[in-house]
Amino acid sequence: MKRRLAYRRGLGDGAPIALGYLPVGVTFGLLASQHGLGLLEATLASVLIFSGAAQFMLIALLAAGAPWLLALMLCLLLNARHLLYGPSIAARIPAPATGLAVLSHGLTDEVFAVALSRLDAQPPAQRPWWMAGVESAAYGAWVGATVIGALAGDWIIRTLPLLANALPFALPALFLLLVLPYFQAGRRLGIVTTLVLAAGLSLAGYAAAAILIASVAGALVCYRGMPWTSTRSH
Amino acid sequence: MDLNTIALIGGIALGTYGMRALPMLWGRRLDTTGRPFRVLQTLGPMLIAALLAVSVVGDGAGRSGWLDWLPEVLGLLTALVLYRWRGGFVLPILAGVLAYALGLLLR
Repeated sequence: MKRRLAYRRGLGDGAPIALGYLPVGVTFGLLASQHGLGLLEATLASVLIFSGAAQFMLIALLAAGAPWLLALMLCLLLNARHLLYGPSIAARIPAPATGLAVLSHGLTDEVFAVALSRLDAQPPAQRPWWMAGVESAAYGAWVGATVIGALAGDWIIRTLPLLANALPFALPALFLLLVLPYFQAGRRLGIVTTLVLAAGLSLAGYAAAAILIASVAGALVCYRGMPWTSTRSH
Repeated sequence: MDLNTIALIGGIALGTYGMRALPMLWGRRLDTTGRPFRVLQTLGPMLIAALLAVSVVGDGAGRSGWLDWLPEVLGLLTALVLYRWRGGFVLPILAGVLAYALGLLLR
């Protein structure tokens, strides 16, 4: 019973992610079909990869006729930031290795951000189920929206253009609300550094590298100001 | 159905899953009082901040004036004010999306 409630709480906490994923997933499905991917291939990409950035890059590379190996390497390079997500939250999820292996598939940028902010508010034993709920909301929305986009994306975007353009803004709004609790003494300078650096790199056309470079730079700024670093000269 | 495309999708899926799962499995062994864990706890919020910045300005190419950023400014301010006032996530985010849509119309 508690597991079911935790799963439902997770579904609720994942709802803002689902809201943001819906229009982006529809757009992916539409673009995929416009670039010659069938319904099966587009859906398989969302089911198996479950990473918007890599999937959009895949479409662009296929359209450009990029070699197979280059497309693979570029898509994986784009997802390299995922290397940092698991270690940040794994120790706080008391689940066996098989459970963590299953949960890993759904660890997108947005799921990570929600998990980092809200995991500690969940009773430890319920955390895997809560996490499964968050991931189910995100995954269901992404895969469902891809199918809808591949079948009827063109009609949706023509009929509801403002909604299709505005709904993806749910994701930046979600990130803003998730970062706010951390915006306090000790982390403030690091967060400002990260924001400025990531925005600058992104505007310069290096959005994928921006996430890794800016977050590590911000963490270094914070790390130098943390209490445990003051004893390192001993 | 193009088998080359399916194989490419499978390769990207395997690589992405590996980058998510292997660090996750390694991370469960981390001592939560140790320095590596504390460093990761510092890094986590920075990753969210970076995602915020990239998701806001990611498609900024081609914008010339401040008015071009009106939808983002309206959307973020609305979400922030409602979050401070009412708390929760869903209402501030929905209001932020509506304000963003208004900004798109006004721009």
